[in-house]
Amino acid sequence: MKKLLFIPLLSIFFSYSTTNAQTDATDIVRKANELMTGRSSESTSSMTVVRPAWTRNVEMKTWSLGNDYYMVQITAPAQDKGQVFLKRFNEMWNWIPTISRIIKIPPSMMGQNWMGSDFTNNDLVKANSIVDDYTHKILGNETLEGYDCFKIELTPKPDAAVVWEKIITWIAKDKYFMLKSEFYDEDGELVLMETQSDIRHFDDRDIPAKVVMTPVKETGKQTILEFKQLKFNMSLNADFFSQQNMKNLR
Amino acid sequence: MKQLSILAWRNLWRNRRRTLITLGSVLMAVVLAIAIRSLQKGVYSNMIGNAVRFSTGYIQVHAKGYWDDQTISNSFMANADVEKSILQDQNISSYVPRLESFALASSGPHTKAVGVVGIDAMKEDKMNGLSGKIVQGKYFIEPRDQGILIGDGLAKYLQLNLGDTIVLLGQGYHGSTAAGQYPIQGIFHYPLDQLNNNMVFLSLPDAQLLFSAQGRLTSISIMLNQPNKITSTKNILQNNLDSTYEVMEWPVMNKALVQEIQGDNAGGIIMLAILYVVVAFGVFGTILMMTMERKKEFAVMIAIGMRRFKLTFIVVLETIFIGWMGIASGSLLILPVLIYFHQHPLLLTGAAAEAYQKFGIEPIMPASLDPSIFLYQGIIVLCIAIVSAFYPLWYINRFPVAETLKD
Amino acid sequence: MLIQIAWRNVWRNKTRSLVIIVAVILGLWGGIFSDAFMQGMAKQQIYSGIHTETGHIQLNDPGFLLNHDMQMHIDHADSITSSIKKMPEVKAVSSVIQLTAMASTATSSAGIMVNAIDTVDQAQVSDVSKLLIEGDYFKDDHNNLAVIGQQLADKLKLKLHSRIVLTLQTMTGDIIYGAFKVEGIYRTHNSDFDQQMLYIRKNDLLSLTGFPVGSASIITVLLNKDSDTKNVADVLTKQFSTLEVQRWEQLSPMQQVLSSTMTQMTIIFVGIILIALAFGIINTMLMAVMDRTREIGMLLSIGMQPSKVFGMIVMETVFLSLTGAIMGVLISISTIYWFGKTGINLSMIAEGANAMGYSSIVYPTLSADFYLELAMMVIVIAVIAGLFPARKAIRLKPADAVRGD
Repeated sequence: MKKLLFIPLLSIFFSYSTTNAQTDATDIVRKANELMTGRSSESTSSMTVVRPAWTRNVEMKTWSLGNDYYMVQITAPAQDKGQVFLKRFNEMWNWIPTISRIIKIPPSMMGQNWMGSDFTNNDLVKANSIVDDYTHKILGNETLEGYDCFKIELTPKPDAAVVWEKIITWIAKDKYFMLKSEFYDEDGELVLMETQSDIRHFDDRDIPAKVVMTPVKETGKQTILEFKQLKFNMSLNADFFSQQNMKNLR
Repeated sequence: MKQLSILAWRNLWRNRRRTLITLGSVLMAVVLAIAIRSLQKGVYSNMIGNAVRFSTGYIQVHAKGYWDDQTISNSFMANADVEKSILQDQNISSYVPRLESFALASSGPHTKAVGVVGIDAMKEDKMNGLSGKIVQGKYFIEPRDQGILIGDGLAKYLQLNLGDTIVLLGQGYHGSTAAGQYPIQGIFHYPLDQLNNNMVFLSLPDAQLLFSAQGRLTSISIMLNQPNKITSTKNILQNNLDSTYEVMEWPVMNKALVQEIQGDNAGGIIMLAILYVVVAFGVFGTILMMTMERKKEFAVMIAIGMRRFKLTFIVVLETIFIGWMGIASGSLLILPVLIYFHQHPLLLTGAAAEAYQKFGIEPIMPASLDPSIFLYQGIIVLCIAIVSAFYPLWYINRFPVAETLKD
Repeated sequence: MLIQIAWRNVWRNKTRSLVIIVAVILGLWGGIFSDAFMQGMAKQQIYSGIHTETGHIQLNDPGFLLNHDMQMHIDHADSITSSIKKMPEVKAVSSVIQLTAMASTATSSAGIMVNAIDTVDQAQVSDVSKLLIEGDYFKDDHNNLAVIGQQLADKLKLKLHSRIVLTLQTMTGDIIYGAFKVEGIYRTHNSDFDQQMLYIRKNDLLSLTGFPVGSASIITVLLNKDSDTKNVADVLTKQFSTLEVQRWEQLSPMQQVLSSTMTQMTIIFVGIILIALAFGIINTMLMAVMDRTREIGMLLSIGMQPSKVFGMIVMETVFLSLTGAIMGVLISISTIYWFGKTGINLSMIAEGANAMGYSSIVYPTLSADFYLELAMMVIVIAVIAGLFPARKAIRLKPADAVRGD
């Protein structure tokens, strides 16, 4: 019943029943997730991988359709330019123009870092799980970077294939920016932190343009993702995300 | 004291035959103990030498932090200083620079994660005879050979033949993409499926290009002339190199081999213990008989006024003399035999030899010439001799003089 | 007559005889026991290889072991399994689905081999179920339980009841994820095995990957006797001609290297111990004869034929060594029996050997004919050893001998 204590603090969206409160927490997370993806999207972004001894910058173009289709084209550095990654549902392919080959990434490589970043191939393929794989609970309200936020706890569903023990995320009310997420391991220790900042207007909406991933336990490591252009809900269909099209992207 | 020593020494040569027999038993004890231990150690060092030859070497130089996080980003720039430090050391017999990482090997619909090793063809062949493992095609001829060597298991899985092209895709230095295609120039076969199915070799420059790691290495593996001096060689090398490098010994890197040898060695020690029991009784038996034989002599000595404790002391000295002489002559006797078997090792026969050869290990049981064997076995046998002397001591201090004289 | 004298001589000087008898006993015991120990060690290594890793015989699709390709499975594995089970030489059979996969936790991931098993069958074939250092072996009825090796647990920082996510491939080539809970952690003598092999229930895998029901990747056969391996393998090869049938020696060639080295070492070691025994006996005998110079000289001077003296001494040696041999065999049998029950724990001798797990305990064992062979050998050695002093004795000049040294 402790849960109920928080509820009156929330706005009229929430009823007094526990089940509904949970559904509403789920709803908030879903909306936050949809904000970043839309039905479809097209973006230009840059990724900076920070390591204790070096940094590396990758420029890319991204297309997405729902949660199941995803395509990334690398535009810089010169060395990796033209490479394309395609995700369809749980599968992932890689087109390498220098050798004109498409290679399917096998399960054994799913744990590999993607382009040397703090994302793994798995993270890209499994991007949808924060809505469906977790139960959500509002822990309270907190103000973060000037935004009034819901603090929500995500607990994996019993059979969900999720490595985290829990995720705590701060989502701005009304705006649905996922300003901060903390990922905890089984010992309850913080392993990974994701922050989103630099709210900018893209297309039809305001969203954070900068995402920073920090593996908390490894000093000096960080991955920074910055959106430069972002368009939503254009007319893309599933056919666009084909192996054939990987080779033809310009 | 000196007088007693002289007396003891003379006593020994008064009954030469008796002394020689006792000496013989000590000598035999030390010869056998050294022989068995030398053979055990020789077999282990043969095993170690062969195991590290194909993997880490006795010692390996790599960038600090590489061992815990074996990625190409933890590689180091190959430079003349490192090579100079290695070449300087007299104990280093050969070394191989390598750039190791892994990648997807792909051909048509088949894809498999494999280990990719960039090698210096000449040095690698000198260290572990890699060229001899090629069953089809040929080994790298030039240092910049453009081809790739793959295991026959991998070739079978990817349905590839000599001359076909294999695609490698992985991650290079600092997260860059590593992609390349190579004609298969040779197919090798090892008896270990792990290597056959999961390993490919490129020439070092090719591997460096593939992984965008020009001029870089992940490790330098080093073979030694005298593996027992591994720690000092390692320390010298570590001192010569700055702290961005790390020098490691094989036991740290190959725990499985250490475990195996320790397990086996425990068995060897039990065998050794059994041998000690047998030889100890041989020594004890002869000393016991000697004492019995000298019963009358002791009685006379005591009767003419020699103190029992002095007599005891003389007998102890005699035993120590015999012990020393036995050990010294035994060591001298076995040394040429060991040197011979070190240079002309015993050959394994039958199934064992076949199994060894399949693994590229010489089917031999060489003798080890490690000086510590002589030291430890010598000390143990001396202890056996001294403990065996307790009977005569005990005897001298209690037997009835009068009765013995009457006998 | 001569026999009686010899027999009496043996007991006239009890200490001397005792020394020789004990030398024979110890020599014989050393030979037999070391042989038994080495055989126990070799047997134990083979045993732990067979009983944790390979079984005696494995059947699989000819292409399977190349890359653990799940398409290359054995159809109707269940019916094959039950037909093999009916063979009288067979102790247990288990069919396993083996897939390469990735295991991940919040902090790291590792490539592993998933073994989807019938828990009851597998427990009869492999001892992994008995080698748990923590937790249980599929005791709980819950779905998606996993039993993992200690090495993997350390690498991924997994504890009992930890959550582990497996990334697998379905039959259609899609990637699929499964969440499992660590129910037990085992440790074998092979740390590579402990890092690789993860066990789950077959049903859990079937529902994830759509692997055809009743099929399997590998069928493992455990026999009642090691010696039946070849026969049964031949029968199976004929019966299931489309499958690859492999014996344990073929599956783990390194094992063969180890056990054959062991055999050769045994021969050499036992040889060295026998030399030690021969020398011990020769030495004591020589001492004994020296001790008896006067007595033998007396016998010769009162007109006893040298050949008879020779015969007497040999006879004495035979009595001594026979007594020693009988007692030596008895002591050997009882120590081998004793240690065969309790085992010799090598981890107490060599530091670090305890890292090998249960295989650090060796149970000495020896077949009956070895006892006989070694006992015969020891008696022969003792008699030959006795001949030297006997020869020495008859060469003594009676006069010198009587006068003493």
